[in-house]
This record gives sequence, C-alpha cells and structure tokens, in this order.
Amino acid sequence: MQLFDRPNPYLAMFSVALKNSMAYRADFLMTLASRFVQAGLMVFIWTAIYHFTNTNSILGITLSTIYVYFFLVYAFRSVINMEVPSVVQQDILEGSIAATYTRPIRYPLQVFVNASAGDFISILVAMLPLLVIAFVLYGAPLSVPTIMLMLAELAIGYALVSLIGFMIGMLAVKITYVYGIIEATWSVMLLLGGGILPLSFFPSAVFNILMLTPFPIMLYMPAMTFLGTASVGEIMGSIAVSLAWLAVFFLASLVAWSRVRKSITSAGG
Amino acid sequence: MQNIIEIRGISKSFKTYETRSTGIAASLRRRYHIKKALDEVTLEVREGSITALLGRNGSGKSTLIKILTGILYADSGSVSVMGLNPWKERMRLAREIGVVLGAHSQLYWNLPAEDAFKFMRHIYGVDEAAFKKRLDYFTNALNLKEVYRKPVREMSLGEQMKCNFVASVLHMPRIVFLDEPTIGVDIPSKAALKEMMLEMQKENGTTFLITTHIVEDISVAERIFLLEKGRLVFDGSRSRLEHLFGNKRVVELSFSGGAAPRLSGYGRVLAHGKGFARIEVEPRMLKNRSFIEMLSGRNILDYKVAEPGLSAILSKFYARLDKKRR
Repeated sequence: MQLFDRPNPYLAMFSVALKNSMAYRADFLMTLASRFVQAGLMVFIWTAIYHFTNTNSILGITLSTIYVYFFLVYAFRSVINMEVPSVVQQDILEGSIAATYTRPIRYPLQVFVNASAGDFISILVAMLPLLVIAFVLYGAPLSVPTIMLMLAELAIGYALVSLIGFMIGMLAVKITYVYGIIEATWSVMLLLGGGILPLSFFPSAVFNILMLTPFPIMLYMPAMTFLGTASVGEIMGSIAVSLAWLAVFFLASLVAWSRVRKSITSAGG
Repeated sequence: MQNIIEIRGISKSFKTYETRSTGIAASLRRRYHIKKALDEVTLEVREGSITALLGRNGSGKSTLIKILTGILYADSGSVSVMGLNPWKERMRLAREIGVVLGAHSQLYWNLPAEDAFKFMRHIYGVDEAAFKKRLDYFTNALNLKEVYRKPVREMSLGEQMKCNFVASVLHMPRIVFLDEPTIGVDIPSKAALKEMMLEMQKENGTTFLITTHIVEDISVAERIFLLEKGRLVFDGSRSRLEHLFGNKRVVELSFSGGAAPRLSGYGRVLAHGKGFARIEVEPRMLKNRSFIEMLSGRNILDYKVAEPGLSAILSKFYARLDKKRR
C-alpha cells in the first residue's frame, strides 16, 4: 500500500489496521450488509406503524421523511459505534496491551487509529451507499453549508462516542469484562441519540433536556440537518453543547487514563 | 563495562482471587488475596552482556521484565534502564529496547509477518536500505525466507517466535529482553538464535536479558540471576552455580563377568548391576591414584565421566530450597 511508504508511525499503523480489518472479507462484507438489512427493517416497522395508525404524519413527520431519517441513522451508525471499548477490552483480556507498551507508541492513540481504520472502510462500503439511498429518497438538492454542518456534527458525534467508548474500555483494566456495560451504554445512546425514534417524538420537556446531553449530535441532529428541519440556531446550539461535553470527556479521559495506566497487569504471563 | 540496568529493592504485588471449590455456587464466592510477585529485588546488568533470568513458574521473571520495559509499575524501589525510569520515560526507553514476550505476539494474526516488520520500520524510523539489509540477514539466518510473507495464522509456533524475534531487533536496540523466546523453536533455529545474539553482542555491544525455563537457552549467558517466589536467590556466573550445586561427577563403568570392582570407598554408588555400575564422585577423585588404578583394572571394559547438566544443577538447587522451606 502506498500509505506504508510514509514515515508517520500512526499512518503506518492505520494502513496495517486497514489490511487487518479486511482480512476476513466475507465476514466483513456480511457485517456491512447487515446495516442495509437493519435499515430495511426499520422502514418495514415504521410503515406498519403509520399504516395501523391510519395517518400520513406523526407529530409533523411524514412516512417518507421517516424512511429518509432511518437510512440516515444507519448511514451514521457506520461510524457511531462501540468499536473503541471492544478494542480496549480485547487488548486487556488477551494481554496484547503488553506488546503495545514495549513500542514507542501511545496506547490510546493506537486504539483510536485501529478503530478508525475499520470505520474508514465502513464509510466507503456502508455509509456512502446508505447516504445515496437517503438522498434519492429525499429527492431534493442539498446545499454545501448543509452538508458541511452535517459533517461537522457527525465529526463531533464521532469524537464523543470514541471518548465515551475509551472510558468504558478503561473500566476493563479494573473489572476485566465490560461487554455488559458496552451493551447497556449502546442501548442508551441509541435511544437518547435518536437511533430508535426521532427525538422530536418525546414530550417537549424531555426533548429539551435531551438536547443538553451529548447524545443528539451522534445521530439525531445530523439527520435533522440533512432533512432541513433544524434551524441554524438549533444546530449551532447543539454544536456548542456537544463541544462542551467533548471538552469534559477529553479531560476526564486524560485523568482516568493516567490513573488506570498504573493498574494494568497484562494477562497471560 | 558499566551497568546498563540497575534495580534497587523493587517490590510488586498483584491482587488475585481463587474460588474455594468447583461448582457454580462456589464460583460466586471468591477469596481475594495479595500475591507478592517481586520482593525487594536488587540487581545490576552490565552493558554488552548476556544475562539469564531463571526461575520456576510464578517466580516473578516475567513481572521483572515487564517492569524493566515500562509495561508495569513497581510498588516500591527504583529502576534505571540506560539511565531512564521505565514508567516515567517509557516512550524514550521503548526506542532503545527490543522485547520478545513469548506469550504476547508483536505480529498481526491475519497478516503476513512482513507487514509487522514494515510497521516496526516506521515506528523506529529505520531507513529503507538498512531495513532491507537487516531483514535479509535475519530471515536468511533463521530460515524464514519461505515463511514471512504468509499470514501469521498459517505459521507454526516456532516460526511465529522467530518472526517475533526479528520484529524486535530490526531497529538494532541497545538492550533486548527475551521472555521465553524459544517456545516451539526447532533445534537448528535455536542454535541460529544463539549465534545471532553472540554476533549482535560482538558487533553492536547489544545487551541481552533472557528469561526461560529451557536451560539450554542460557548456554550463552555470562551471568545468571535466579528468582524464587519473587526473591533473588542466586546471582553469579554459571561456573559458580556449577561449583555450588554441580561439583560432583558421575562415572559410569562397564566391567566383565562377575568380577565387580569395589566402589564404596570412592563415592556414592548410584547404581550397581551385572557388568554395570554408576558412581558419583568428587572431582578431585578423578586424580586419585587408587581410583585411576581401579578404572585401569583388567576387568574394566569401558568407563565414561559425565558432568551434571544445568538442568540437574537447577533441580538440585530447587530441591535444596524446598527442603530449607520445609
């Protein structure tokens, strides 16, 4: 690979991780294909809901908008995932964190680079096709500022989910198994981030509280930006709140890592 | 030669648990206790030397290596590796050391070892010409030419270990830590590894610290440290260890017919059968006139003098430790 001939160690690491992610091609492609199946399932469920309630619009959202919304959600879920804590837990369980520590590389960076390599492929193979489907279903042109704002929100959401994931992963140093915590956090994130239903379906008091949490920027706000239903003020407000959360999680991760680092024991001799 | 590693009174404990008995209910009741992996260990390693760190399972060898390489923190005491504190200056130290951890691979399971080698080149900033030259040398010497381009998952354990060794020394580190480096490695490759260590020591002044259970691995070691339950119980040369615990010689005799020689006055008779005997004697007995005359007797068909191997010496050493503890 061309990337390999550049001198940056983290770029080289990214390149190796890319190759590693694609090692079992059939399994990899089936995992990605499952995203399309899941998006189709949501379309089926919401079609049934609209059909049985005998309505064209629920709280101002039409069925065709719901279709676009869920294709967008599944597109974003290609990168908004729990890959980071899974990587950390694996390293702790197998003791491979020991081998990393003998090299002149920073472990947290290695985790993010390895996770991002998998996400990079997901963007190409799953996210872009799902976005194209959403765009076709939407049927109207998108302005450049809209696309830029959506990408900015998604980038902040990605950083947030990675940091939250890293903090969960650090728990593995203390309690070894964090699968349960990963699953529970992911379920909460999906619900509070708009992955199960649009947040505007919640009562307005709940909605207003949710908009102060770090979750809407992960799925709901980028989708609303795409659909043009969020005002510039709402988008900027959401970005400001999320950046504040990002700063909090970043500092918390630094402090937690400096403490947890001393407790690493490296399993397996 | 100056010290490249200095350890002063380091201790390290781990919290471990055990279940009282088998069964589901018992697995819920865990008994936690603190295990002292290292207990006030003090030692030094000379620059450019080959040193062996021996000990039984759970003696603290791997813990010590992990502390020296900055993987683990020590609870107390001080450590200096090339003048650096491994925990506080891990990134600087990691540039100067190579580590083979028998239990933890440096390779990518799904990718060829070549990818890991190239990755190491980028991490350590080795220029391409030097990288190619070294890779060629190591893969030739360790018989890896046909192997290193296939996925690691298709390699034998010995091939993986050899590739791990290559990945750890491609940047020509000043110190190489080898923790159980010859698991699954065949005899010719073991010899090649030793050869390579001696050459790196001679040409570059590389320091090697080897931990192992396989005593043949340490035939190149100039100095031996022995750990037992986290404490340093021996520090010295191989010849000193031999002198302390392996100073006896075993003489095997075969003789004709029923004329058995009288052996009891020379040493401890280990075996005595029809036409065959084995006796353990002090080394000075080999110069004893009466003993030599007995060996030259007409009825003696053949005899052989054997020195105890390091395995036998260590067994004796451990037996003495266990007896003392009882």
